[in-house]
Amino acid sequence: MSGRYLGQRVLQALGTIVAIVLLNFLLFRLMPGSPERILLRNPNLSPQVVEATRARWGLDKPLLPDQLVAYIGSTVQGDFGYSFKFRGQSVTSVIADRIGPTLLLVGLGELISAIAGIAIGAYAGWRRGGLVDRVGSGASLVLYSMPYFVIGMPLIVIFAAGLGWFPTSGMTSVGGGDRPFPANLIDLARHLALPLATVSLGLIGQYSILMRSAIIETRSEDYITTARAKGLRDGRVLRAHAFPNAMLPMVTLIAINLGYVIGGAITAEIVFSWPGLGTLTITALSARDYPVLQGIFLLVAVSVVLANLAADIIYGILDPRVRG
Amino acid sequence: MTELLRLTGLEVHFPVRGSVLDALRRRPRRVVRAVDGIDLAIERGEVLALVGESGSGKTTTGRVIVKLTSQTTGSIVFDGQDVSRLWGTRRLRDYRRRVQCIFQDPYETLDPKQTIHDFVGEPLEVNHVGSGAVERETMIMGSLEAAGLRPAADFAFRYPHELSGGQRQRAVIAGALVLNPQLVVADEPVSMLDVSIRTELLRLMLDLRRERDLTYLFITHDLSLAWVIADRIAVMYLGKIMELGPAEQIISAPRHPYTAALVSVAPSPEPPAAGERAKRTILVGETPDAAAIPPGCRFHTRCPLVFDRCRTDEPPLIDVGAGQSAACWLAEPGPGTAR
Repeated sequence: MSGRYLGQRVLQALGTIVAIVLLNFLLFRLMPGSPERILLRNPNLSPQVVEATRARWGLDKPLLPDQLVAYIGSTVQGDFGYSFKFRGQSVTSVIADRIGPTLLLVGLGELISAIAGIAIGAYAGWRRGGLVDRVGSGASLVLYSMPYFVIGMPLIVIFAAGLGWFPTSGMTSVGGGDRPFPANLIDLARHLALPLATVSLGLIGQYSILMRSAIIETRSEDYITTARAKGLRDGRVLRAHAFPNAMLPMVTLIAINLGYVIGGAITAEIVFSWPGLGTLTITALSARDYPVLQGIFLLVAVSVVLANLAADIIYGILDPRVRG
Repeated sequence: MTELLRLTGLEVHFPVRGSVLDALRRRPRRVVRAVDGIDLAIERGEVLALVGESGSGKTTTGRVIVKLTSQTTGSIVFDGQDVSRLWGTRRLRDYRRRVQCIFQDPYETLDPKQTIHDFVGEPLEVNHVGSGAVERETMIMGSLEAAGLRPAADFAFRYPHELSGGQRQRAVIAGALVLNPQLVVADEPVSMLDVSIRTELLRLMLDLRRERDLTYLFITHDLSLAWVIADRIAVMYLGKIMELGPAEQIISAPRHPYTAALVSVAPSPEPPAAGERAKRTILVGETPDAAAIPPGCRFHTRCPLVFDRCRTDEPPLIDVGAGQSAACWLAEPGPGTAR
């Protein structure tokens, strides 16, 4: 990959992040209501107290340049302020508490569904019209079109409420996390099973549909015919020629999806009360916890940008035409 | 000259996917008769051009020979061995080594993710040719040089997008040559290239034929190109051979009205003599649907010389002498007969 290509991508990503930071500032200043009223929550305060609070939080200063400069200064230092809802906790610590569960759930879900979706899609596309294609593509389309909560609800009804194999919600049983080593992991795994299945099923459809169409597209390329005429056996044509070329669009999709991993699969987390960023977003939203929302917004946006950058770089490594 | 490949009664039919309505009405499934009874022999060392419009079945014929499409009926005998029923990677290994193909579009024939070196080396590896990496390396480089990519080291590790169209087609040729085949089926190998590069590549192909004792089946829609490069020309129309014979004779004395029409509209380097222009025969109408081939002579719907018999009886290939034969009721048998 040429340094020029890499440099361009990095610059682009940086530019986007700067724009996001500015937008993040602007967006939450445009929201209705004044922050000091939410902070104080008492409509009968004397103007002096309100004034004092405004001065204390720097709200008496003009938006430009004072507030913006202060905002950028603290954002760069990783200081996003304090949560309204979780009193006394900084936004950073609130988000940090929730990021682990989300990464575990959505990250694992991405991994499982990417591997399974690519395998199913590749096979279905290669043996187009075969059994795997007919069953797999139909199922993929159904799964792809279903929101997480539609997948999650029946799972809870059948496997948690009905059969009682798994707990219905949460990440640990009461005190489950404090048990000695194998027991705490087993407890976590039992809680993880259903939400993970939900996220994976939801994503498998998307991946297998794209992989299938990518394989079908490459299958009709002349270089596939040429490879056959050269005497390559079918499996090798797939492995050596069709698969690597079909993977190019997949890499982009997976990397971009990875950006959203951070945001969490909101509906899946809500259905299973998974203590991740998704449930935090909903909590913060209903509590008008602007600082936390602002933090989540920034985190998600930046991770999407970084995931895109990663996609560009991986694409550059995989595709000789981009490598230049 | 001895015979290298013989096609006998070759037919390739493709079923047409009918609509649900057709299935409900229990209509018989229609078939496209892409190749509809071909008898053709390719002599060792010759260049045989298979000429025809698009839809004439020339490409399908080529694909059957390189075993990418299976024939419906008919036989393929290569070098005395019947290969009609030969299928499967392992059983075809020996045949693939001896029969290779070159496709039309050098941009599409090369895998964008594969270096030229790997493209040329792949057939060696999968067909277990050459013992060890060193010998294979020599063969790869030798093949690249032979195809005119010199010095080979400069080109070997490039990707297709780093080469020009002509260089790509040379790489494709190198890939076909590396197995040292006897027969090369070239399907429109130069039609995607600039005219200036075409000549070079045609010369290269002809040089290679001399150096390596190659036999070519050269598939093209361009009659004048066939005339330049081929020893013999076979003209196809709607899945059948209409006329077959030495290139010079096919061009100068075509016996089939279809060939005559093609020849009359082919560009010629000499300016037309007075009255020459009037002799052009422009065929009217389109090639009929290969799923509904006209009865009798399949050309009768467009033939300027059509008469009653053509509408009912299909003419066989009639030997008109000097190695030329035409599938036309007007072609008179015997050596040197006038029209």
